[in-house]
Amino acid sequence: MKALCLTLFLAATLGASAALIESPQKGGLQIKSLSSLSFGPEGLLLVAESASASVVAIQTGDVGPAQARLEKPVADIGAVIADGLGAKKEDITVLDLAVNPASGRIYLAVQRRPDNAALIVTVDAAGKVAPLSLEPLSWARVTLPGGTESKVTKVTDVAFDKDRVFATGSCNEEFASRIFTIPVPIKHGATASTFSAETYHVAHRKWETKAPIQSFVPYSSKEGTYVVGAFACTPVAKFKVDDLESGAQVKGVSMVELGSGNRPLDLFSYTDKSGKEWLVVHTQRFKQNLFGPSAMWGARISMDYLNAAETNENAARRNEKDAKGPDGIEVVDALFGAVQVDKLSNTEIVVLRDTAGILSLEVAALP
Amino acid sequence: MLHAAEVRINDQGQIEAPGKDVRVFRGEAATPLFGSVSKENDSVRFVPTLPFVAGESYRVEFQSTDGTWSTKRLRFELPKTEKPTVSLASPAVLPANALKIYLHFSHPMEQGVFLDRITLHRQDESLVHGAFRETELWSPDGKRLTLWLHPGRQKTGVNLNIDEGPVLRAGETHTLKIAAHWRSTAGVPLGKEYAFTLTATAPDHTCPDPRRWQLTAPQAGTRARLKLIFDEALDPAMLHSALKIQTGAKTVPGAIQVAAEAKSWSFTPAAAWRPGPHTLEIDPLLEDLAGNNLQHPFEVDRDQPVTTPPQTTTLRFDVR
Repeated sequence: MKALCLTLFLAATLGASAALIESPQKGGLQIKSLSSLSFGPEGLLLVAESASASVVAIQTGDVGPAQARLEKPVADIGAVIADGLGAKKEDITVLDLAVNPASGRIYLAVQRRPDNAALIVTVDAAGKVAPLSLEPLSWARVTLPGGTESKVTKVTDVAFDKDRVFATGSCNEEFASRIFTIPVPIKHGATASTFSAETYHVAHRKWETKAPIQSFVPYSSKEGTYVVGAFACTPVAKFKVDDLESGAQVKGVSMVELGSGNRPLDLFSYTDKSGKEWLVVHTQRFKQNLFGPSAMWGARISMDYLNAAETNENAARRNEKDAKGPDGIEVVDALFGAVQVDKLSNTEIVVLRDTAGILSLEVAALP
Repeated sequence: MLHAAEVRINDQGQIEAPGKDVRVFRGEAATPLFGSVSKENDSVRFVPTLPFVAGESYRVEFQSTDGTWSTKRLRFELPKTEKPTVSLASPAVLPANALKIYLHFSHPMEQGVFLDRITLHRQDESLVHGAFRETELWSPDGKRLTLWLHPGRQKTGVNLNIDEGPVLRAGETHTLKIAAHWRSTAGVPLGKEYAFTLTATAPDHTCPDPRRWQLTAPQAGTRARLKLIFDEALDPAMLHSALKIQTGAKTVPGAIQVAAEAKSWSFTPAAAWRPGPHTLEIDPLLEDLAGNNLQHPFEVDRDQPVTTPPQTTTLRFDVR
């Protein structure tokens, strides 16, 4: 009876998200590599698969209700994952973490060495780690222009935004930045549209002509739709992406700089209890540690900074030697030591934290 | 009572055991491997979620029909494949503001560790800290690594550049070291440390200008190589795809060769050259070693007067 109920549940939920994928494939999905995970609505998992220069959309069937919020921290989760994959702890890398907003369940993108095998594992409310079984799931794969012949060999991030999916890529020859768009419903076998992006680097009064976007978040305001991106070298910029045609070049507007020696890893936005909107930038400091207990840290940035117009030579610059300021940029203590992070809700995040080489998974509060 | 010897690995890399249940662990791990168990008559089969790893030991615990558990240990030997090797696929002499270096491996390599396996040293052997961009960029076959010298230090005026100086110092030699214990995806390490000497020359802030290239036109009726000599080294990887020969609207098929120092390029046609006008079409995104392409220098100083790059993307020649 239990098995029957589960089957009916899956059938109902898979059908519910059918409109998000056109011509879905049934079963047989093999993931060749993982670089980023993200969720759309109705349990739609987006996977950046760099090895095939593709974005894969998977109907997980994990559509809620939201009862899978992690109840207590999982200690030494690195060892649990390594045991499950048959590897030493040092041969495992958690490449990304995504929380399914529909259920609260945690999804981790994991790579094993030396064979570079990739696997998505889930963590449920009780902290149980299990591989995501792809076999019963429907999916679609959309290649980036040029496919495996493309010079874009790293899909750095992927995100769902209402009627389209955005992805960003990094080239392995040109020092170039690309933003890709995929219309929803996501059609299996389709090719993404692409445009190149450049922005102004306020730190050194040069055009940051081609710097690759490391991570981004879609953002809509009354002025339009933006990709808010963080670069490998600290600036956070916005790119207006309304009415763009494939092949176009879009210029970004700098919002803030986090200070030199910081490498943004991930971004998400949230609205605090007062209704104020924030952009959270998860960051790795690769210079000498100047404050806080870890080189892994994060800051929240007031979305008011998004109001900057045109080329913003006066974009706010954070002093990397100071834990505070300028106004509207605040250190988020819960992100010290965070290796991966994703938003659980407007009040909580899920953090994969490294403490003296031991990874733990926990829910932490947002300020 | 079952005999441990009855446990075996089948051709699909699955473990078959007599009895009614089976669990597989790596070494002495407490938690079993991810995988599925299926039962057939009096035997069980374990299908691992990911393939077993060469060189690893596994502990197989299987349960007989009477409920007792037995244990067998299995080891997957490393394949007898040759050791991987690595070569520098970039010029050994490069401008001090060079952006990237290519490393070619003979076999696909394990990923996620390149920052621990590659170091850059100055003439006095001291380590250059934070020399590389952290983004890991492999070719689809996993054999070519694009190693970016940290752009934040290579760009003029960026704080990192000011605080810590450029990665490469003009007029000095540097040593790029590749650690011996870096493994191929088959688990076989390089087995020895590799060291490549890099010599930094003056920074280059100028766009490549095809008008300064020397093109030697081949003779009609032959399959002689078309030779192109550059006035500076260009990106050796991009040279394999950024230049093509056309006659009218047709692309001439043939084979490309890039010289080791990336200062010359040649093209051998698949068939004999036909007489008539030809063009060399150049991708305007072709870069020199410092990231300057035909359209833009890598860095544009907004405080300086704008100088328009040459924008020449076609060279014409006659085959006679």
